[in-house]
Amino acid sequence: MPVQARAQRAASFPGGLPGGLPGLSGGPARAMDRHRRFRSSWSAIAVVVAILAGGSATAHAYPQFQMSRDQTCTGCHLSPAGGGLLNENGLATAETISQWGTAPEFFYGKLPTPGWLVLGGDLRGASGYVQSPEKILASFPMQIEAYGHATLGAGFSLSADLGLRSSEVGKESTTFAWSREHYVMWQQKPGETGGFYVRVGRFMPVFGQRFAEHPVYTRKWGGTPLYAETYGLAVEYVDPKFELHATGFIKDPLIDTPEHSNGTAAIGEVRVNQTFSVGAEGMYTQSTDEKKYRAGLISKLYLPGPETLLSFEGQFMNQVINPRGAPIQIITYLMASRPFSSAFLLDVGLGYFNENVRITELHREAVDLNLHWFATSHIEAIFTGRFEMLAFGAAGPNAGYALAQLHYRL
Amino acid sequence: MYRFVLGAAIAWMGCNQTDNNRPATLPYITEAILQPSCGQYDCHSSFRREKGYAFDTVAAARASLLQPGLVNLSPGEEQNSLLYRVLTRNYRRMPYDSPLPDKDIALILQWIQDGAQGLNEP
Repeated sequence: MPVQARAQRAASFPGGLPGGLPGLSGGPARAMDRHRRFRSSWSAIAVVVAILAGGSATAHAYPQFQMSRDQTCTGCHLSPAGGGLLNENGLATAETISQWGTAPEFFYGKLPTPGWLVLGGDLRGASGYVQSPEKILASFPMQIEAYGHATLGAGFSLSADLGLRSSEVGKESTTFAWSREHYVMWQQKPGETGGFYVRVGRFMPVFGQRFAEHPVYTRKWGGTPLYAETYGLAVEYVDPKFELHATGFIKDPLIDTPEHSNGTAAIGEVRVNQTFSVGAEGMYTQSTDEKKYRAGLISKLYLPGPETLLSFEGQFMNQVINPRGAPIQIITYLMASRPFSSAFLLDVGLGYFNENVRITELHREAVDLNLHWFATSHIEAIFTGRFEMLAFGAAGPNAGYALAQLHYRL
Repeated sequence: MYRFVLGAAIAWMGCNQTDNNRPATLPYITEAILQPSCGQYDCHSSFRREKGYAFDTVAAARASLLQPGLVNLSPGEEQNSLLYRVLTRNYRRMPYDSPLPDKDIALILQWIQDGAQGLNEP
């Protein structure tokens, strides 16, 4: 997520409701009242936007394509963990699944790059309705980010991205841009999609199903929240039958990120056959205030009949807080994904997060719905919605959002 | 077998659940409640410091909560603490993306009513 330009600048509503959206249900007077209220609370909206910005804003592609399209992330991506720049097969897939095709290369192939250099980028914006429980309309940019991957020879390569971000308070002029990821990678079999990989630099520790949508519970509370990239060393092995990823990492020494801990993460996945995979994961993090132990299971099951992929992740997390307190959490997410009409993908997700299993009514549930339309090789429109309850409505107000998102891949 | 394990786990969790006996301490409230829900990167992180508050570490939370109005320790006035009010009001309620459970809010209020232990420690 990259660059998310900030919402404070984006969420203003000159002369009307934000984003040109029509008012919510209700008469004109009610709409005007709502309008005044919106204007008076623009800063509040900015915060909402800041939270939601990047909604799916990683350049991660979709793990939903695994099994149905390819067995591994490296089938379509340059990174062994998926996300970011596409390889030739990934570009071909982007063209194949889209409504109107178009040349999938960087800038439609009109800006040719030398063979050792791959360039790309992502632009995203969204507009929609948020209830938390206050009802808000908002429009905001999510991601402005460019990527580069340079092959250095002897199996080595350099990957880096650059984008806009929220600036640090008091240092706005120097902190409005950053490189979320930059690392050197060694690949045992250059040009192929398997074998050993070693990465050193700044990237997200490899963990979980790596869904693109960061509000997914197993990302938000599951060890890989938005902007939680750290500096680390990853040793990875990818094979059509199985893959292993082990990462050791330290918190960013230069800027504060959501990850204040040093730690290790490991995940292994076995593809039992062409339609079923299962894996295990673990993560340990330690900061001055706490330790976290995570253990979990991941699985994917592709149902050829209904052409539906089921993706599951479940985690136990034991958080040891100094000087006392050790909540045990459960974080799970189940997503069913089905492509249809050649250019659409529908996801329905169910999330469950229990903040402390020893205490009643500290759990929350969410139902997510994402509808992707791949208009061209570069343009994607997404409707994303969520309805969330606290202890099935017994422990506080419900919340949710419904956003229309536009994504342009350079 | 898996059904037995699953059933046992659910039974264990159900049998051991209590009402709300968690430690009402600043480290616990910060790390278990405020940091995951409020201290996200774009909000009350040490980097972003929305409204001048950060809740992503105990030290940052302590510094923020010492600002005037956040915690009101006057007897009978605890519910007027800004920290409590922003979590419970309907207008501009925090966190904006996902409200806190009632029991988390109750624990925070209890911490204030108990004298906000740990707030003035270095």
